[in-house]
Amino acid sequence: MKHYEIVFLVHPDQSEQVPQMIDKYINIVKNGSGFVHRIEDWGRRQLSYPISKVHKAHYVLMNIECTIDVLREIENSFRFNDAVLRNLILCRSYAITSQSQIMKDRDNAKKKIAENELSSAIT
Amino acid sequence: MSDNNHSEINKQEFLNCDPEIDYKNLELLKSSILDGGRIIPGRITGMLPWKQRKVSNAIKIARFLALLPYTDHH
Repeated sequence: MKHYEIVFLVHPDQSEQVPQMIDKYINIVKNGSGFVHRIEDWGRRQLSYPISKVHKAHYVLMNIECTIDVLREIENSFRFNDAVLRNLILCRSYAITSQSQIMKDRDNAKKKIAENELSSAIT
Repeated sequence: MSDNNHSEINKQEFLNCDPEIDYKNLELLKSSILDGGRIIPGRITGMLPWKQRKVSNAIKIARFLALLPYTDHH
């Protein structure tokens, strides 16, 4: 089965539905006897240019291994879902499970904020 | 002459770093674009041609995903 990397942008007002959407897509892949190698929720990010008049969007990254039927099903669900602003599907030659650079930067930023809070609480 | 030195320095930097060229690697991509969002040409960065092509394609994907701007007029 082929490996795919999918990134999709969700409208920020529908951020609370993102976990449900992720579960739905994982179920689609598992029902089609595929594998999910990586799921990353980058959270709400500032966009470099407004898309559909919104300046922030909720990013989700998925690395999956599935058949073409499952991929078409996921593509269709993106097309008919108004909450999904944009989606990108890339082909990969192998499964990627390591953390992406964007997720690492987010974790580092969170750590820094936590450290600053600690140091300010001590002093 | 100064252009030659400039490209030599960048060449050494990129050859020594060897980062994974991906649209998610925003630090690498941001160092390959000008302030306005335009891609710096290969003859100025001094990158190997295959690397420059990879970086250019990664920048175009990142632009589509709004991780990088197309222009500064947004």
